[in-house]
Amino acid sequence: MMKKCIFVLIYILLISSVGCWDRKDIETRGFVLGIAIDDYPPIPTGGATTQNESKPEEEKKFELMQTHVGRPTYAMTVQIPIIKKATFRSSSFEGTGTGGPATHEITQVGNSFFSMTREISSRLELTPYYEHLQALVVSEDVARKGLHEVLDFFIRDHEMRRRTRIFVSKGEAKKVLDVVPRIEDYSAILLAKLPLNSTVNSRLIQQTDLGLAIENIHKRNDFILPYVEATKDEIKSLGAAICKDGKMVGWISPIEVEYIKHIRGLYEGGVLNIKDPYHEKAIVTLEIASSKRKITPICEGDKPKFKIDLRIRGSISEYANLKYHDLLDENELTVLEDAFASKLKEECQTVINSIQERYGADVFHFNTILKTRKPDYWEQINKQWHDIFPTVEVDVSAQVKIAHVGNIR
Amino acid sequence: MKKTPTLSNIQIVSFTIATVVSPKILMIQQQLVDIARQDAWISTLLGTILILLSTINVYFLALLNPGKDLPEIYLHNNMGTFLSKLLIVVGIIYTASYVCIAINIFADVVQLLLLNRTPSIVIALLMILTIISVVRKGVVNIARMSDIIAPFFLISLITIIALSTKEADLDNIKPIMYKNTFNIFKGTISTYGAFVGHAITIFILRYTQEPKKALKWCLLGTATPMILYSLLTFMTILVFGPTEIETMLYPTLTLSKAIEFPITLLERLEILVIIIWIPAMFMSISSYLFANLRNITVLLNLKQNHYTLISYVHIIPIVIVMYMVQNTLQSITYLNMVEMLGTFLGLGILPMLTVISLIRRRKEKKKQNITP
Repeated sequence: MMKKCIFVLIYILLISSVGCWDRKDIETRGFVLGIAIDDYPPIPTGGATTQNESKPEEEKKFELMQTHVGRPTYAMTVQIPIIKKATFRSSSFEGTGTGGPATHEITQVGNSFFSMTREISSRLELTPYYEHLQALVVSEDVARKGLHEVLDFFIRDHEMRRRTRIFVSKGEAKKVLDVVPRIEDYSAILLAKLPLNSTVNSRLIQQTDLGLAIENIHKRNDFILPYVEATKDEIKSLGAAICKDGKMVGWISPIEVEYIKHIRGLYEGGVLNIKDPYHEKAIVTLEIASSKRKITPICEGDKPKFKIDLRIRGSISEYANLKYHDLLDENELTVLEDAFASKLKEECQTVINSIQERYGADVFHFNTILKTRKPDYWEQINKQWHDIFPTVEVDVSAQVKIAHVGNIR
Repeated sequence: MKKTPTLSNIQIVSFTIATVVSPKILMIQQQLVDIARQDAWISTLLGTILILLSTINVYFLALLNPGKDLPEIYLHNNMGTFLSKLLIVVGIIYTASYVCIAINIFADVVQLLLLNRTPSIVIALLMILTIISVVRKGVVNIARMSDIIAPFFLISLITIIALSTKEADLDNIKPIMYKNTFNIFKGTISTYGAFVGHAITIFILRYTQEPKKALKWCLLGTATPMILYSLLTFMTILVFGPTEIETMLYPTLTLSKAIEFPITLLERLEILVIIIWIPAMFMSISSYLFANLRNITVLLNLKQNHYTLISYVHIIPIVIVMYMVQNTLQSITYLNMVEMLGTFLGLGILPMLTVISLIRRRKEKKKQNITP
């Protein structure tokens, strides 16, 4: 009996001890929704709102931290929702700003992100908690210096998630976090939801997460990340930042993103416009329902060639700038299909040549195609790939099938 | 004295499933990818075949020695007392080391992901006390617990595999078997070592009602988790690719973290995995501890009522190992060493024992035929 009592007592003690050590009330956590990383110096000023209520000069003292080694090189801003404000806004249906900002943004300057997160704790009554981090915005300057240098902490720490969205900002990254969205409560949530529209807008990149960026860096693949710009209350995707060797080397337009997605087989939906072959001023719009691609590597000689076959299926969704047109018949549809195919082929070819020439970055992942389908050949050329890629010949062909014409002929 | 059969044949399935789960389920992909790169999934498939063959061997070994478990089989087969006892000691070293290292890794993972501030020694002690409370009551208790836990574990594994298909990229497994045959076979042996727990059947068949009809249940119990592990490895490679997996410590957890689920409530799917993994580890370690109790009681010629005392003695090496192992990487290295010993026992000693048992059996039959 005595033995049993001792056993039960030890057991209860151990269980209760576990609870004590890790007890953390939810209201003591500061849920970080977004992080912006800017180059330092200078300290980012962000949007021109009164997000930070104290004077900037006074706050600068707090934003600088003592470092154990080296000099501060980055400014990290974290976005923490003010839960009370969010509740106030949603329950009273008041507009943005009436209850004050719904988020608290704290900037810290340093050279180790983990140290910066801990330093932020010295300025907050809440413990920063990163499990629900939605978006990471990196400024163009930081991206050009190198992404790998800043991303290690965000992939190593157990609170972080690989599916956190990552963006490159035109100008200060803090400015993107400072946006007070019109519908959503928090800019980080807006950013996280933005790529979901890639099913209807092919100019948005859907694969934008931290894990994929890191995977590409580890695989030494070139890749693209969404490039965004912010106003006071809006965030707009401006195309993509091109990353080569883990560093941003340039920028491509939203239309170029569209064609890259066709070539990479990432196209989820979007539109394509052409001039009507029968009426010079008219514009015909094709809503693309599916885009499939087949890439065939041809490995002869020192340089490989690639043959890309695109197969598009879609619907006529609009005739613009046209007062009247004849009823659509099958012959006309065939002419339109050819015109769309020709446009697609031409644009894809232009985009490939342009990226080869401007950046020499294999964002089409032709290297993966060689590596996986022609491993013998890849072994011979993989070390010179970055030199070979800009001169690689690519032949694009396209087939378009119009399945529907809408409600009218 | 004839042992009273206490387990139904179908309980072998859940018992084996629960035992085959090892700490390696969280990290096997990393180890295999390190060896066989993108073909690691082929290694797990071949490993599954090897493990099934090994299960058949274990089953026949048990049939050739009815009513006996492994340490008793060592003593029963006229191998000489010294050699028999030496092999039992090797078995004790294997099972005890496994228990200690597995608890160490368990405490490490729980601390990393759930209880950051709780000392790992407390987590380990809590686990071992819980395990002892089940194991000291004998095999029936372990089997009952397995019956409850195994289905949940399998469902969670299937859920992760199914949900991760969305993130899969077929290019990640290509080129298939390109100049990699030797590494695939090396990976096969590693797979065997990681899931050598299937050999638990040699300890539990003596307690089953109809051991002669138990083969299909033994195979089912081994094949079910192994096929799921193969699929898990396959999906992990499809989602991340070998280069990325090499950088990961716990690929299964990373996979569960990488799954995007539309329901916000299940945003932290990895917690579900941990919640299921904790009882699964509990079952696996319980089975190993039971095997160790059997080894020790046979070696020292003790009775079942000593189980409780021997169980508590295990706390000492566990605490020593907890203080001896400096970090996660070191505990994984130790686990790999323990698995090598398990591979030696499973692929070396057990088949040899079957051959010896077969020869002994034939000799006995001959004697019976000669004697009028």
